[in-house]
Amino acid sequence: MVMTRVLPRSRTSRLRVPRMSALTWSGLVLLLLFLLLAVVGPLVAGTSTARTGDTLAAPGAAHLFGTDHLQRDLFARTAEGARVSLLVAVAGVGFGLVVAVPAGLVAGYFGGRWPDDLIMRILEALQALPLFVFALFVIGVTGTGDSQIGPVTLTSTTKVVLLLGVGFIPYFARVTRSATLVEVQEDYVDALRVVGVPRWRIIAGEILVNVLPPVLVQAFLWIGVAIFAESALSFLGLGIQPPQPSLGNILGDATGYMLLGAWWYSIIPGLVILVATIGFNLVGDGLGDALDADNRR
Amino acid sequence: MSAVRAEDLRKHYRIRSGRGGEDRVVHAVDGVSFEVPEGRTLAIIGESGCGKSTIARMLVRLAEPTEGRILVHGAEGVDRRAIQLVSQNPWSALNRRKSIRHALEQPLAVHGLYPDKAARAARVRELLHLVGLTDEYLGRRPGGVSGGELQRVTVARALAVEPRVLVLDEPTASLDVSVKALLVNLLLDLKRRLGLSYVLITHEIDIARHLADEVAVMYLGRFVETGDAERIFSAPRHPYTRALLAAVPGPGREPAAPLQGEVPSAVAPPSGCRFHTRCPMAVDACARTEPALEPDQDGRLVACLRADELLSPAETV
Repeated sequence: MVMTRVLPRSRTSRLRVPRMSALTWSGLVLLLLFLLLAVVGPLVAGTSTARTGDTLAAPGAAHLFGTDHLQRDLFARTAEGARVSLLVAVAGVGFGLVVAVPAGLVAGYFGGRWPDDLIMRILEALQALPLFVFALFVIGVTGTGDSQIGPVTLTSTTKVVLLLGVGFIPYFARVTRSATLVEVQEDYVDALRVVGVPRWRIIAGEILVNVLPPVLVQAFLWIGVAIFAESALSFLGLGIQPPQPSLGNILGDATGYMLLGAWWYSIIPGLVILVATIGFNLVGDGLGDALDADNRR
Repeated sequence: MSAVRAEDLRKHYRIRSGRGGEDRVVHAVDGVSFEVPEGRTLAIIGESGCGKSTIARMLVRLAEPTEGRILVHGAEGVDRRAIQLVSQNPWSALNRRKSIRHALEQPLAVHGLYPDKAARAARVRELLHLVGLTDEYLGRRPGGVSGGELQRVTVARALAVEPRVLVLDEPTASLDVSVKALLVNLLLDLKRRLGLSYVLITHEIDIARHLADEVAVMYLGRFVETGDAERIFSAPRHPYTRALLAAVPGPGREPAAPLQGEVPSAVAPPSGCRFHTRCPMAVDACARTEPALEPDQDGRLVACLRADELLSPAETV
């Protein structure tokens, strides 16, 4: 037999500037603004707890975002708060992923069989508990300060990270599970079993790489949600505790001063939360579209 | 010793019905025995849904037989290196985010073959050359490679663990006509060079004609006719085999009208001969008595009550 030598087609570049919608562009602008504030802001601003001598000063040349009732510079506090909120949100989403992705992979791989049932029932139980009720309960029991659990000290910030993560686990696990359910239908899963590849290696080495992109897109979207949720918790006093600023607790401090005419005190951190949430959502949507387009190719 | 020996294989799937109702049982494979002599190819042919793919899954131990046993070179235990699978859809059979090098290296790594890094890399290239592909393919992912080439890669992957038997489950069904012949030639060539035995599962009669030494015609979970490929293809005896072959257009021959009706449900197979509901030759007895596979005088086995009457094939089926 004559072996035909088939030449491979030229490799098309995988790196291309994706076509983005106007919404994605505006999301990207908002996101960059927020990141500028959260990352660069704390470096250029002074300490967030220093007293400036001006009480409730309006935004101006001296104080870009004005000052609060304790004479603290609100630009420094908002920037530091944005940094903290972002870190807490990313850590919360990360913690959620670390638990949810393995759970979703296992559930999806055994779709319909008992490991799937077990994992899904646990997730449903978790989801049945609203995040804020759960947070109230946890903070009610452990208090707003540091808690000592065995050798581990949980600061209020760590507690927020864990609460957010636990709240997100059911959603991330579901996304992972449904992507996995589709993936295990692919013939390569059977082919690898026939070759003798152990089950855990098929899941962790082969299925994971295909499941991760859509899950990470979802996770990115949820960073915006996490910033919003962190702000809400901190606003209610259940989250990050003063003097550490967060976008939510600045907003919480500001209640009441609106009526005294200090509009900047609540409007500016509120806008930052809005910008962050919308930014992450729009860019996340854009990433999802790009991924779909990539899959169709 | 035969390469593969299957003894009274059965695979029944239980379908849970909702509350109250009784579970239904699908008799996907319902008592099938065969033997593949070493170095030979057995083609199992039949319409889709007849259970032939279930046999493939049992042979490569993706599904456990409900009853019966499978011996590969005389051994009954699971030996992943003894028997390998080539499936229908090469795009799905390869991980789209992994390189072809990875696909070929993995079987070697799992079984600890060629532990030396350079030797393993050389073996991967050797496998690729074995199926007529060049080194350029190593770093590529399935995305930009054509179906025929990808199917060669899945053949190479199956051969990586040095099996003596390949199960080919519709290996050409998703390929372009022009590429089918290339793959068939490759499979014939590999069989000769490596001394492989094949179990070919297909509904494409032409492919079976090219590859098979022996044929088993399957209908609704059972074999209706088995024997030497040339004899069966040139003079099919069972009415189902005749209908199946007559539906294929040949040189100077229009395809006959395909069989009427659907394949009956495998949950409640027809009484008597399972084919009697669609058989043009059926008589009353066919609905009552289930025919066994009986040897014919030329060595083949036919499961038909009227096999003797059909010895001199009627012109029309």
